[in-house]
Parts: sequence; structure tokens; C-alpha cells
Amino acid sequence: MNIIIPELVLDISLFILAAAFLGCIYRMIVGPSAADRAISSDIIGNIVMCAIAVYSMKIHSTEYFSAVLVIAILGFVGLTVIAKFIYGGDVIDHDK
Amino acid sequence: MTTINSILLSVMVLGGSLFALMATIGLVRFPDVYCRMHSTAKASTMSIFLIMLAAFFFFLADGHGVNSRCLLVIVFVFLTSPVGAHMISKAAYHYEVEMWIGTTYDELSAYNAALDSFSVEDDSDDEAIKNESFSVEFE
Repeated sequence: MNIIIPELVLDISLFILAAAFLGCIYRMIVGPSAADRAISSDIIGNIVMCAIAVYSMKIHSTEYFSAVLVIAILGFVGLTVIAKFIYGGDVIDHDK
Repeated sequence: MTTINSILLSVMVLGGSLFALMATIGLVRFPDVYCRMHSTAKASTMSIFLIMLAAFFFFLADGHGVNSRCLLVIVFVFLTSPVGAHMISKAAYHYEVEMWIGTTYDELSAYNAALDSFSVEDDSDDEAIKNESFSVEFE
């Protein structure tokens, strides 16, 4: 019982993810405020996670899923730090 | 049976990548920071969910055993994506990013105004109550 996803499906999926990546790059360059750029960087992280999963299905290997976890954690920490910086202008609270 | 499973997994992979494309279309075409957040926080979470679930079942059937990192990524993204979107939208509101011109109702500013007026009334009531109690004690 061996499930095989056709190579064509994985290639089409990678092309769609690349198109989504280009849209995020557009918003990151054009975006009027800093919050737009923060959102688009978060979405770029999610798209890269999806692309790594699809590519590892393509080459039949599970080596790269640690990279997916690390990208998820770093994306969340980066988004939180940028939000805190926009909110108060300071990342770490010094008083109290 | 195998063909049905492979068709299901193909639909999940294609659907996940199409959800990512929908999130990006919303990110490009919506007029406002808050609308863009509304688009991306849900659709990208759904794309992660579909593609990671497809990868989990693919590697389960491919002979690699249970790959728990796929499920861990799903749980982590479902926990952190709404938190990040909420923090970014709160920061954008505090930074006074302009809203779309078609925005009809700003609930947070009405809430802040009501909170300020309520706290002022509350302080005056407290002072009045203290004065009354003082007067009673003094008599």
C-alpha cells in the first residue's frame, strides 16, 4: 500500500506557492506602513514552510521538517517583536 | 483504494497551495492593514493545515512511520497565528495607521471614550461617598 502523489501535482503546487511568494514581495516593497511589511514577512514564512513540506514530499525524505518547525518559531517571535516595537518603540520593558 | 488515497492527497496539496495564493491575493488587493490581516491570518493557517496533514499521511503511507513534527507544526501555527495577527493589528491601531475610507464604525475608539468617561464619573462618585462618610463620622 504505497500512496504516490504524482510529480505533476507537486510541481504545480510549487509554482502556485512561488506566485504567492511574488505577491508577498510586492506588498513588502509597496506597503505603506510597517505593519504591512510585518504581515507580509509572516506570510512569506508560512509559504516557505508549505514549500519545504511539498519539496520533501517530492524527494521522499523527512529530513527538512526540523527546518519547518524552526521557521514557525522564528516567524512568531519576529512578528511579536516587531509588533512590540511599533507599539511602544521599545522591545523590552525596562520599568517595573 | 490506492488511487482514491492518492487523489485525496493531491486535492489536499493543491487546495493548500491555492489557500496560500488566496491569502496573497487578499494581501495585495485589500485596501487597509486591518482588512489584509483579516485575509492572511485565516487563509495561511488553512494552507499550513492542509499541506502538513497531507505530508503526515504521505509519509505514514510511504514507510517513514509517524512524523510527529507535522502535527506539532499544525498545533503551533493554530496557536500563534491569531496571537500575532492580534498584536500587529493592535500595534497598527496604536500607531494610528489610517483606516479605509469606507470604514463605518470604529468600535475600539468608542470603547476607549466610554471607558474614559466612566472612570471620571466613577472617581467623582467615590469622592462624594468619601465626603459623606467623613461628614457622618464627624457628626
